[in-house]
Amino acid sequence: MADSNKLIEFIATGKLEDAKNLLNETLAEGVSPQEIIDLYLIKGMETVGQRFEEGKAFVPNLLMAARAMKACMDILKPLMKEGSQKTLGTLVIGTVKGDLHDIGKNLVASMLEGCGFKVINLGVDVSGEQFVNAVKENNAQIVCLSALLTTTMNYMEEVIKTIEKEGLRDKVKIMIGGAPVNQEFADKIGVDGYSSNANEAVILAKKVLNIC
Amino acid sequence: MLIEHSIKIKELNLSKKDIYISMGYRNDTPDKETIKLIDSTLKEISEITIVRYMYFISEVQILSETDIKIGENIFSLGRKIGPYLGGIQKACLYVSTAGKEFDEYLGNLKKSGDIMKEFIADSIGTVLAELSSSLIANELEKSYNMKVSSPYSPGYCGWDIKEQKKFFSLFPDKPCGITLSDSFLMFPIKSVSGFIGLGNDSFKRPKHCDLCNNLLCFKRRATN
Repeated sequence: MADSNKLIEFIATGKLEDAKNLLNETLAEGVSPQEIIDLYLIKGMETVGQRFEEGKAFVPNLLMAARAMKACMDILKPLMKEGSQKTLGTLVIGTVKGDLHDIGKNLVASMLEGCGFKVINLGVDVSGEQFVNAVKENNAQIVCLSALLTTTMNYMEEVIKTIEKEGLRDKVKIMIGGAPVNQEFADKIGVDGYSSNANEAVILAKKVLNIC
Repeated sequence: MLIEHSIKIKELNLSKKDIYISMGYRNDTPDKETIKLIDSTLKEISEITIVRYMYFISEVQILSETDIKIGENIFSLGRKIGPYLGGIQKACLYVSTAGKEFDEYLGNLKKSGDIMKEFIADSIGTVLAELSSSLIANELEKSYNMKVSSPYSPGYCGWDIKEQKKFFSLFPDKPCGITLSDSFLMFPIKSVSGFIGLGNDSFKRPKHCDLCNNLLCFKRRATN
Protein backbone atom coordinates (compact mmCIF):
# COMPACT_ATOMS: atom_id res chain seq x y z
CA MET A 1 0.00 0.00 0.00
CA ALA A 2 1.34 3.40 -0.99
CA ASP A 3 2.30 5.75 1.81
CA SER A 4 0.48 8.69 0.25
CA ASN A 5 1.39 11.04 3.07
CA LYS A 6 4.91 11.07 1.66
CA LEU A 7 3.44 12.93 -1.30
CA ILE A 8 3.14 16.01 0.90
CA GLU A 9 6.88 15.98 1.55
CA PHE A 10 7.76 15.13 -2.08
CA ILE A 11 5.81 18.21 -3.19
CA ALA A 12 7.23 20.38 -0.41
CA THR A 13 10.79 19.39 -1.33
CA GLY A 14 10.15 19.54 -5.08
CA LYS A 15 11.00 15.88 -5.73
CA LEU A 16 9.23 15.73 -9.04
CA GLU A 17 9.88 12.13 -10.11
CA ASP A 18 9.20 10.71 -6.63
CA ALA A 19 5.99 12.75 -6.48
CA LYS A 20 4.82 11.50 -9.88
CA ASN A 21 5.55 7.85 -9.01
CA LEU A 22 3.75 8.01 -5.68
CA LEU A 23 0.86 9.89 -7.27
CA ASN A 24 0.40 7.08 -9.81
CA GLU A 25 0.52 4.46 -7.05
CA THR A 26 -2.07 6.41 -5.05
CA LEU A 27 -4.33 6.69 -8.09
CA ALA A 28 -3.98 2.96 -8.72
CA GLU A 29 -5.30 2.33 -5.21
CA GLY A 30 -8.50 4.15 -6.13
CA VAL A 31 -8.00 7.51 -4.43
CA SER A 32 -9.80 10.19 -6.45
CA PRO A 33 -7.85 13.00 -8.14
CA GLN A 34 -9.68 15.66 -6.10
CA GLU A 35 -8.82 13.88 -2.85
CA ILE A 36 -5.18 13.70 -3.89
CA ILE A 37 -5.17 17.44 -4.61
CA ASP A 38 -6.90 18.35 -1.34
CA LEU A 39 -5.17 15.90 1.00
CA TYR A 40 -1.62 15.86 -0.35
CA LEU A 41 -0.68 18.28 -3.13
CA ILE A 42 -2.05 21.51 -1.68
CA LYS A 43 -0.75 20.51 1.75
CA GLY A 44 2.70 20.05 0.21
CA MET A 45 2.55 23.57 -1.17
CA GLU A 46 1.36 24.90 2.18
CA THR A 47 4.24 23.11 3.88
CA VAL A 48 6.91 24.73 1.68
CA GLY A 49 5.14 28.08 2.06
CA GLN A 50 5.34 27.77 5.83
CA ARG A 51 9.05 26.87 5.62
CA PHE A 52 9.61 29.94 3.44
CA GLU A 53 7.90 32.15 6.01
CA GLU A 54 10.15 30.69 8.70
CA GLY A 55 13.27 31.34 6.61
CA LYS A 56 13.89 27.61 6.20
CA ALA A 57 13.20 27.63 2.44
CA PHE A 58 14.14 30.02 -0.38
CA VAL A 59 12.43 31.17 -3.58
CA PRO A 60 13.91 28.25 -5.61
CA ASN A 61 12.41 25.81 -3.09
CA LEU A 62 8.99 27.38 -3.72
CA LEU A 63 9.55 26.98 -7.45
CA MET A 64 10.72 23.37 -7.20
CA ALA A 65 7.58 22.61 -5.22
CA ALA A 66 5.39 24.45 -7.74
CA ARG A 67 7.06 22.51 -10.55
CA ALA A 68 6.38 19.16 -8.85
CA MET A 69 2.82 20.28 -8.19
CA LYS A 70 2.32 21.23 -11.84
CA ALA A 71 3.68 17.87 -13.03
CA CYS A 72 1.22 16.08 -10.74
CA MET A 73 -1.65 18.28 -11.89
CA ASP A 74 -0.78 17.45 -15.50
CA ILE A 75 -1.38 13.80 -14.64
CA LEU A 76 -4.58 14.47 -12.72
CA LYS A 77 -6.34 16.98 -14.97
CA PRO A 78 -7.16 14.54 -17.80
CA LEU A 79 -8.70 12.20 -15.23
CA MET A 80 -11.13 14.83 -13.98
CA LYS A 81 -14.37 15.84 -15.63
CA GLU A 82 -14.17 19.22 -17.28
CA GLY A 83 -15.25 21.85 -14.80
CA SER A 84 -15.28 19.41 -11.88
CA GLN A 85 -11.95 20.52 -10.48
CA LYS A 86 -12.37 22.67 -7.41
CA THR A 87 -10.39 25.89 -7.32
CA LEU A 88 -9.96 28.41 -4.55
CA GLY A 89 -10.87 31.16 -6.99
CA THR A 90 -9.98 32.67 -10.34
CA LEU A 91 -7.48 35.47 -10.62
CA VAL A 92 -6.03 37.57 -13.38
CA ILE A 93 -2.40 38.61 -13.09
CA GLY A 94 -0.15 40.83 -15.19
CA THR A 95 2.68 43.35 -15.24
CA VAL A 96 1.19 46.78 -15.92
CA LYS A 97 1.57 48.77 -19.13
CA GLY A 98 5.01 50.17 -19.83
CA ASP A 99 6.77 47.53 -17.73
CA LEU A 100 8.37 44.43 -19.22
CA HIS A 101 9.58 42.66 -16.09
CA ASP A 102 7.86 39.40 -15.37
CA ILE A 103 9.94 36.91 -13.44
CA GLY A 104 8.57 38.00 -10.05
CA LYS A 105 5.04 38.06 -11.39
CA ASN A 106 5.53 34.57 -12.87
CA LEU A 107 6.74 33.27 -9.51
CA VAL A 108 3.60 34.62 -7.87
CA ALA A 109 1.41 33.12 -10.63
CA SER A 110 3.13 29.77 -10.25
CA MET A 111 2.66 29.69 -6.47
CA LEU A 112 -0.98 30.74 -6.68
CA GLU A 113 -1.66 28.05 -9.26
CA GLY A 114 0.18 25.48 -7.19
CA CYS A 115 -1.90 26.39 -4.15
CA GLY A 116 -5.20 25.83 -5.90
CA PHE A 117 -6.15 29.05 -7.69
CA LYS A 118 -7.05 29.24 -11.37
CA VAL A 119 -4.57 31.75 -12.76
CA ILE A 120 -4.97 33.78 -15.95
CA ASN A 121 -1.50 35.17 -16.65
CA LEU A 122 -1.74 38.11 -19.05
CA GLY A 123 2.02 38.60 -19.34
CA VAL A 124 3.72 42.00 -19.43
CA ASP A 125 2.83 45.50 -20.68
CA VAL A 126 -0.85 44.92 -19.85
CA SER A 127 -3.33 47.79 -20.24
CA GLY A 128 -6.32 48.54 -18.00
CA GLU A 129 -8.67 47.43 -20.79
CA GLN A 130 -6.89 44.07 -21.06
CA PHE A 131 -7.27 43.50 -17.32
CA VAL A 132 -10.97 44.41 -17.51
CA ASN A 133 -11.59 42.12 -20.49
CA ALA A 134 -9.84 39.23 -18.76
CA VAL A 135 -11.89 39.75 -15.59
CA LYS A 136 -15.12 39.69 -17.61
CA GLU A 137 -14.14 36.70 -19.75
CA ASN A 138 -13.02 34.58 -16.83
CA ASN A 139 -15.35 35.86 -14.14
CA ALA A 140 -12.27 36.51 -12.00
CA GLN A 141 -12.50 37.39 -8.33
CA ILE A 142 -9.01 38.86 -7.96
CA VAL A 143 -6.80 41.10 -10.09
CA CYS A 144 -3.06 41.04 -9.31
CA LEU A 145 -0.97 43.95 -10.60
CA SER A 146 2.82 43.89 -10.78
CA ALA A 147 5.41 46.59 -11.56
CA LEU A 148 9.16 46.79 -11.12
CA LEU A 149 9.70 50.47 -11.78
CA THR A 150 8.72 53.62 -9.93
CA THR A 151 7.72 55.07 -13.29
CA THR A 152 5.35 52.23 -14.17
CA MET A 153 3.85 51.58 -10.74
CA ASN A 154 1.73 54.69 -11.17
CA TYR A 155 -0.09 52.96 -14.03
CA MET A 156 -1.65 50.73 -11.37
CA GLU A 157 -3.92 53.65 -10.52
CA GLU A 158 -5.01 53.83 -14.16
CA VAL A 159 -5.94 50.14 -14.07
CA ILE A 160 -8.00 50.70 -10.94
CA LYS A 161 -9.79 53.65 -12.57
CA THR A 162 -10.58 51.51 -15.63
CA ILE A 163 -11.93 48.73 -13.42
CA GLU A 164 -14.09 51.27 -11.55
CA LYS A 165 -15.31 52.82 -14.80
CA GLU A 166 -16.47 49.40 -15.97
CA GLY A 167 -18.42 48.91 -12.74
CA LEU A 168 -16.29 45.98 -11.64
CA ARG A 169 -14.60 47.39 -8.55
CA ASP A 170 -17.12 45.87 -6.13
CA LYS A 171 -16.83 42.51 -7.84
CA VAL A 172 -13.06 42.03 -7.75
CA LYS A 173 -10.37 42.30 -5.12
CA ILE A 174 -7.17 43.99 -6.25
CA MET A 175 -3.71 42.97 -5.03
CA ILE A 176 -0.40 44.58 -5.93
CA GLY A 177 3.27 43.62 -5.74
CA GLY A 178 6.70 44.47 -7.13
CA ALA A 179 9.91 46.08 -5.97
CA PRO A 180 8.86 49.76 -5.81
CA VAL A 181 5.45 49.28 -4.18
CA ASN A 182 4.64 48.88 -0.50
CA GLN A 183 1.71 48.88 1.89
CA GLU A 184 1.70 52.68 2.00
CA PHE A 185 1.34 52.85 -1.79
CA ALA A 186 -1.33 50.15 -1.66
CA ASP A 187 -3.31 52.18 0.87
CA LYS A 188 -2.84 55.34 -1.18
CA ILE A 189 -4.24 53.88 -4.37
CA GLY A 190 -6.99 52.01 -2.53
CA VAL A 191 -6.32 48.37 -3.34
CA ASP A 192 -7.26 45.40 -1.19
CA GLY A 193 -3.77 44.21 -0.41
CA TYR A 194 -0.03 44.24 -1.01
CA SER A 195 2.38 41.33 -0.77
CA SER A 196 6.15 41.39 -0.83
CA ASN A 197 6.73 37.82 -2.03
CA ALA A 198 5.08 34.87 -3.75
CA ASN A 199 4.14 33.06 -0.57
CA GLU A 200 2.63 36.16 1.00
CA ALA A 201 0.60 36.60 -2.19
CA VAL A 202 -1.00 33.18 -1.66
CA ILE A 203 -1.85 34.02 1.96
CA LEU A 204 -3.23 37.41 0.89
CA ALA A 205 -5.32 35.95 -1.95
CA LYS A 206 -6.94 33.52 0.49
CA LYS A 207 -7.49 36.34 2.98
CA VAL A 208 -9.19 38.72 0.54
CA LEU A 209 -11.52 35.91 -0.53
CA ASN A 210 -12.17 34.99 3.12
CA ILE A 211 -10.87 31.46 2.55
CA CYS A 212 -8.87 31.50 5.76
CA MET B 1 37.25 57.19 -27.80
CA LEU B 2 34.57 54.53 -27.83
CA ILE B 3 35.71 51.17 -26.51
CA GLU B 4 33.72 48.02 -27.24
CA HIS B 5 34.22 44.47 -26.01
CA SER B 6 32.51 41.14 -26.62
CA ILE B 7 33.28 38.37 -24.16
CA LYS B 8 32.26 34.74 -24.06
CA ILE B 9 31.02 33.56 -20.69
CA LYS B 10 33.81 31.00 -20.50
CA GLU B 11 36.28 33.90 -20.48
CA LEU B 12 34.49 35.62 -17.61
CA ASN B 13 35.29 34.93 -14.03
CA LEU B 14 31.66 34.25 -13.25
CA SER B 15 31.08 33.68 -9.55
CA LYS B 16 28.67 30.90 -8.62
CA LYS B 17 28.13 32.66 -5.32
CA ASP B 18 26.87 35.74 -7.18
CA ILE B 19 24.36 33.54 -8.98
CA TYR B 20 23.22 32.00 -5.69
CA ILE B 21 22.82 35.47 -4.16
CA SER B 22 20.91 36.64 -7.23
CA MET B 23 18.58 33.68 -6.69
CA GLY B 24 17.89 34.81 -3.12
CA TYR B 25 20.12 32.38 -1.24
CA ARG B 26 21.85 35.16 0.71
CA ASN B 27 24.86 33.39 2.17
CA ASP B 28 23.44 29.88 1.92
CA THR B 29 24.22 27.28 -0.72
CA PRO B 30 21.50 25.59 -2.79
CA ASP B 31 20.83 21.87 -2.43
CA LYS B 32 22.57 19.39 -4.76
CA GLU B 33 19.64 19.07 -7.15
CA THR B 34 19.35 22.83 -7.57
CA ILE B 35 23.12 23.19 -8.07
CA LYS B 36 22.90 20.55 -10.81
CA LEU B 37 20.13 22.53 -12.50
CA ILE B 38 22.07 25.79 -12.16
CA ASP B 39 25.16 24.17 -13.70
CA SER B 40 23.26 22.72 -16.65
CA THR B 41 21.44 26.03 -17.27
CA LEU B 42 24.70 27.96 -17.08
CA LYS B 43 26.26 25.52 -19.56
CA GLU B 44 23.40 26.08 -22.03
CA ILE B 45 23.64 29.84 -21.59
CA SER B 46 27.43 29.75 -22.03
CA GLU B 47 27.01 28.11 -25.42
CA ILE B 48 24.86 30.90 -26.85
CA THR B 49 25.60 34.07 -24.90
CA ILE B 50 28.18 36.75 -25.52
CA VAL B 51 28.35 39.65 -23.07
CA ARG B 52 28.86 42.94 -24.89
CA TYR B 53 29.78 46.28 -23.39
CA MET B 54 30.73 49.69 -24.70
CA TYR B 55 32.07 52.77 -22.94
CA PHE B 56 33.75 56.12 -23.37
CA ILE B 57 35.30 58.70 -21.08
CA SER B 58 33.98 62.25 -20.96
CA GLU B 59 34.82 65.42 -19.05
CA VAL B 60 32.42 66.19 -16.21
CA GLN B 61 31.36 69.41 -14.56
CA ILE B 62 29.44 69.49 -11.30
CA LEU B 63 26.73 72.13 -11.63
CA SER B 64 24.91 71.69 -8.33
CA GLU B 65 24.15 69.18 -5.59
CA THR B 66 21.96 67.30 -8.03
CA ASP B 67 23.11 68.19 -11.53
CA ILE B 68 26.23 67.35 -13.54
CA LYS B 69 27.25 68.23 -17.07
CA ILE B 70 28.67 65.41 -19.16
CA GLY B 71 29.87 66.68 -22.51
CA GLU B 72 27.13 69.09 -23.58
CA ASN B 73 24.36 67.34 -21.66
CA ILE B 74 23.08 68.16 -18.21
CA PHE B 75 21.95 65.19 -16.12
CA SER B 76 19.84 65.59 -13.01
CA LEU B 77 20.94 62.73 -10.79
CA GLY B 78 18.86 63.63 -7.76
CA ARG B 79 19.83 64.36 -4.19
CA LYS B 80 20.89 60.84 -3.29
CA ILE B 81 23.70 60.32 -5.80
CA GLY B 82 25.04 63.88 -5.81
CA PRO B 83 26.87 63.73 -2.44
CA TYR B 84 28.95 60.77 -3.64
CA LEU B 85 30.40 62.55 -6.65
CA GLY B 86 32.64 65.04 -4.90
CA GLY B 87 35.99 65.23 -6.69
CA ILE B 88 34.71 63.77 -9.95
CA GLN B 89 36.74 64.93 -12.97
CA LYS B 90 35.71 62.53 -15.67
CA ALA B 91 32.95 60.00 -16.18
CA CYS B 92 33.01 56.65 -17.91
CA LEU B 93 29.61 56.17 -19.56
CA TYR B 94 28.78 52.58 -20.40
CA VAL B 95 26.14 50.20 -21.66
CA SER B 96 26.24 46.44 -21.40
CA THR B 97 24.03 43.53 -22.36
CA ALA B 98 23.72 39.77 -22.11
CA GLY B 99 22.39 40.04 -25.67
CA LYS B 100 19.41 39.07 -27.78
CA GLU B 101 20.48 35.42 -27.88
CA PHE B 102 20.03 35.31 -24.12
CA ASP B 103 16.62 37.01 -24.42
CA GLU B 104 15.54 34.37 -26.94
CA TYR B 105 16.75 31.59 -24.65
CA LEU B 106 14.80 33.10 -21.74
CA GLY B 107 11.74 33.56 -23.96
CA ASN B 108 11.82 29.88 -24.91
CA LEU B 109 12.03 28.87 -21.26
CA LYS B 110 8.97 31.03 -20.52
CA LYS B 111 7.06 29.31 -23.31
CA SER B 112 8.06 25.88 -21.97
CA GLY B 113 6.50 26.74 -18.60
CA ASP B 114 9.57 25.59 -16.66
CA ILE B 115 9.45 28.33 -14.03
CA MET B 116 12.42 26.97 -12.06
CA LYS B 117 14.77 27.02 -15.03
CA GLU B 118 13.39 30.40 -16.09
CA PHE B 119 14.17 31.77 -12.64
CA ILE B 120 17.71 30.36 -12.71
CA ALA B 121 18.35 31.74 -16.20
CA ASP B 122 16.93 35.13 -15.22
CA SER B 123 19.22 35.22 -12.18
CA ILE B 124 22.26 34.30 -14.31
CA GLY B 125 21.28 37.03 -16.80
CA THR B 126 21.18 39.61 -14.03
CA VAL B 127 24.67 38.63 -12.88
CA LEU B 128 25.98 38.72 -16.47
CA ALA B 129 24.57 42.17 -17.21
CA GLU B 130 25.87 43.62 -13.96
CA LEU B 131 29.29 42.04 -14.26
CA SER B 132 30.22 44.60 -16.88
CA SER B 133 30.42 47.46 -14.39
CA SER B 134 33.11 45.64 -12.42
CA LEU B 135 34.94 44.68 -15.62
CA ILE B 136 34.90 48.30 -16.76
CA ALA B 137 35.97 49.59 -13.33
CA ASN B 138 38.93 47.17 -13.42
CA GLU B 139 39.87 48.32 -16.93
CA LEU B 140 39.66 51.96 -15.86
CA GLU B 141 41.85 51.43 -12.83
CA LYS B 142 44.46 49.71 -15.00
CA SER B 143 44.35 52.22 -17.87
CA TYR B 144 44.05 55.50 -15.94
CA ASN B 145 45.90 56.45 -12.85
CA MET B 146 42.67 57.57 -11.21
CA LYS B 147 40.24 56.43 -8.54
CA VAL B 148 36.83 55.12 -9.57
CA SER B 149 33.42 55.73 -7.99
CA SER B 150 30.56 53.28 -7.56
CA PRO B 151 28.48 52.82 -10.72
CA TYR B 152 25.22 54.80 -11.03
CA SER B 153 22.39 54.09 -13.44
CA PRO B 154 19.33 55.97 -14.75
CA GLY B 155 16.26 54.57 -13.03
CA TYR B 156 18.04 53.80 -9.78
CA CYS B 157 18.74 55.68 -6.55
CA GLY B 158 16.54 58.63 -7.47
CA TRP B 159 17.97 59.19 -10.95
CA ASP B 160 14.92 59.49 -13.21
CA ILE B 161 14.73 56.69 -15.78
CA LYS B 162 13.49 59.24 -18.34
CA GLU B 163 17.09 60.45 -18.57
CA GLN B 164 17.90 57.20 -20.39
CA LYS B 165 16.96 58.92 -23.64
CA LYS B 166 19.54 61.66 -23.14
CA PHE B 167 22.06 59.11 -21.90
CA PHE B 168 21.65 56.93 -24.99
CA SER B 169 21.92 59.97 -27.27
CA LEU B 170 25.61 60.09 -26.30
CA PHE B 171 26.20 56.64 -27.84
CA PRO B 172 25.96 55.48 -31.44
CA ASP B 173 22.52 54.22 -32.50
CA LYS B 174 21.64 50.89 -30.81
CA PRO B 175 24.87 50.50 -28.81
CA CYS B 176 25.69 46.78 -28.39
CA GLY B 177 22.31 46.16 -30.06
CA ILE B 178 20.42 47.83 -27.18
CA THR B 179 17.23 49.78 -27.88
CA LEU B 180 14.92 51.73 -25.59
CA SER B 181 11.19 51.19 -25.18
CA ASP B 182 8.70 54.07 -24.86
CA SER B 183 9.00 53.65 -21.10
CA PHE B 184 12.82 53.86 -21.36
CA LEU B 185 13.43 50.19 -20.63
CA MET B 186 16.23 48.46 -22.46
CA PHE B 187 16.02 45.62 -24.95
CA PRO B 188 17.54 43.06 -24.65
CA ILE B 189 16.00 42.91 -21.19
CA LYS B 190 19.25 41.93 -19.44
CA SER B 191 21.08 45.17 -20.18
CA VAL B 192 22.52 47.89 -17.98
CA SER B 193 23.49 51.49 -18.54
CA GLY B 194 25.30 53.88 -16.25
CA PHE B 195 28.42 55.77 -15.44
CA ILE B 196 31.45 55.42 -13.20
CA GLY B 197 33.14 58.59 -11.92
CA LEU B 198 36.90 59.12 -12.17
CA GLY B 199 38.93 61.40 -9.93
CA ASN B 200 42.30 61.82 -8.27
CA ASP B 201 41.06 61.08 -4.78
CA SER B 202 39.03 58.17 -3.46
CA PHE B 203 35.30 58.65 -3.78
CA LYS B 204 32.92 58.53 -0.89
CA ARG B 205 31.04 55.28 -1.42
CA PRO B 206 27.49 54.57 -0.31
CA LYS B 207 27.33 51.94 2.41
CA HIS B 208 25.60 48.84 1.01
CA CYS B 209 22.14 49.91 -0.09
CA ASP B 210 21.84 53.33 1.51
CA LEU B 211 20.89 55.02 -1.77
CA CYS B 212 18.15 52.66 -2.83
CA ASN B 213 14.56 52.38 -1.60
CA ASN B 214 14.11 48.79 -2.73
CA LEU B 215 13.85 47.00 0.60
CA LEU B 216 13.21 43.67 -1.07
CA CYS B 217 16.22 43.60 -3.41
CA PHE B 218 18.28 40.39 -3.27
CA LYS B 219 21.46 42.40 -2.80
CA ARG B 220 20.10 44.19 0.26
CA ARG B 221 18.92 40.91 1.74
CA ALA B 222 22.29 39.32 1.06
CA THR B 223 24.17 42.02 2.91
CA ASN B 224 21.84 42.42 5.90
